[in-house]
Amino acid sequence: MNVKELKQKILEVIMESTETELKVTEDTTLYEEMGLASVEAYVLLSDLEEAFGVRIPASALRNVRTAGDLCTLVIGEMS
Amino acid sequence: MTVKTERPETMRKVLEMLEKKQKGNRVFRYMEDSRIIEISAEQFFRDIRRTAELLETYNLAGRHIGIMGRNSYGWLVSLCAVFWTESAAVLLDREISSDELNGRLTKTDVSGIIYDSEVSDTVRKAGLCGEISRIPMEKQTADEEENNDGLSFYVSSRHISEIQKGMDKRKTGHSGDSLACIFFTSGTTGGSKAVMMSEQGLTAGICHRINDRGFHSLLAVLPFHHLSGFSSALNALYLGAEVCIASDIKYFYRYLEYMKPDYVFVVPSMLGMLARKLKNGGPNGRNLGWDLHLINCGGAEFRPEFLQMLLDRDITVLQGYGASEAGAIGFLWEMTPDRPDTIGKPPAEMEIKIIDGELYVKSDALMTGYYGEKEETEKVLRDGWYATGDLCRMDEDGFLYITGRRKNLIILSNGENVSPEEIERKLYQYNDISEVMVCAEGELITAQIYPAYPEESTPQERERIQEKIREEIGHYNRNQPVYRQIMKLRFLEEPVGKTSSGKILRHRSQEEQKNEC
Repeated sequence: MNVKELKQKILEVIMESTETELKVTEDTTLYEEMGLASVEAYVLLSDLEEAFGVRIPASALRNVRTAGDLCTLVIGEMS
Repeated sequence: MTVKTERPETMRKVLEMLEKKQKGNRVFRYMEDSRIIEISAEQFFRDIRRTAELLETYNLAGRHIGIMGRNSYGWLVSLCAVFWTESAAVLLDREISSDELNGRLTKTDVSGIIYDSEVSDTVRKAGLCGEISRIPMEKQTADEEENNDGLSFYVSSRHISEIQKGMDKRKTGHSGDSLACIFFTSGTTGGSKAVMMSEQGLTAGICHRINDRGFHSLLAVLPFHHLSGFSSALNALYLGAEVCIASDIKYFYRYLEYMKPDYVFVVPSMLGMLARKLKNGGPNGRNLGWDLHLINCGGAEFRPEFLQMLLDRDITVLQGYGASEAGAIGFLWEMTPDRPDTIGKPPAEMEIKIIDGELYVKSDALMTGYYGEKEETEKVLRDGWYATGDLCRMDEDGFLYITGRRKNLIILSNGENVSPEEIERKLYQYNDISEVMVCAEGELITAQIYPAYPEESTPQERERIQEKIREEIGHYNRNQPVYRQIMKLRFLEEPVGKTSSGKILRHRSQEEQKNEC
């Protein structure tokens, strides 16, 4: 899987986990556009962990605003 | 038949009572990856005694002892060990910065701090390193393996030398009036306030049957450093139930599936995600592997749009209303569709009155005051009554409804209170910000900023200053938990509206901004 495909897969997990009706792109903001509460963002991390076999500390969310930031986070943990 | 409520005078005596009451029972469960660890009452009290002996050895007994870390079995053991030695527990939010930690420890005269490995960096950077010794505490699980709690002590060197001299300053014989616990709550001005709870205030808030719904297993989700977090866990033990510890909110659904608690405390911000999961979850979430029968939702305004869905899945919903300063006796009302916005009626253990539209409460669980802040205490505690700062009305049937807030506090749906003034004070450290007003737009903390533009600045210069402010807000955000971060930024064309005495006109300014948009 190349990086582009991997990012697409991550975005799919985000959409499935949050059951959002939005078409989520890398630029989609989690809290403003998707309207996630902070606790929902934490729970989303566990779905990403399970889907990609990584461990993401909750503190990493401090630097996350967009779905693209989450992609960078997951890919970073995978490498 | 009325069950008698037994209420010892001190937390030490409460623990001695619980030891007898829970003998032979499983009292805790928690998860390590997909493994469920079970803790018996015998092990729990053995661990409390061992930790208490350690506190005695380092001459911390009877002193103020900080506890900082994620929700864990070790955290609760530490708290109970502090109570066992008749010391005062100072509860610290694991998400605060090193500077804030230093401030809080100094403010509350802490002599030692128990902390877990996740906050070791924060503790190390708090500037305590030069004077303290670190003493790792070994914890044993039922399998005699070292667990991963990694609890450690920092003990000030002053006390180490006292130990070496063989001095023993330990107080003996706590009474109901003795200080048992200090925890922090957001003040309306300046920094957080340190709320003092006496022994009897805590025992009153733990040894009651307000919550007695016949549940077997509580999932403890609320952070233990909040009063409602640890008191609900100890109250569950008092009622004869066990506690499943949610160590990491990330794995909330996993805990519901694997440990199958029948009761969970949540905050309103969790109702939406629960509703999504339960949509096809079946009765009590059975299709998801859950066995959920009872939800207690508190900390912020309830979201009634989710009530019917939960009731349709045979889940009883209780709404909790209270204030940290009022202690762990609060309103607890079973929600029904005919009155989705009431906080209900007060429990028998509480008296209420409404003065000038503001709710006042009185019970044995009230705080004794704010540590080191007599004036601030006198503003809210009068003749045994606590002024909640909440505006309310009562209907003809005695049901209460919260209609607004007197205090200037942002209450988020995750139950956290955020002081706008506290954030504004921090933002004023950036010289590019001339004036700032912090408010909430929905759930998003918003900063309305009037930049420090030079006189006759060009549009390009103004844009450059705005960009610099965006970077500075980013810097501020990186040191804050997500719920306290500034999510929206608005640049004002004019200074923020103020009264003649210089106070920000918050409601008028927000209205003006809405009109501008």
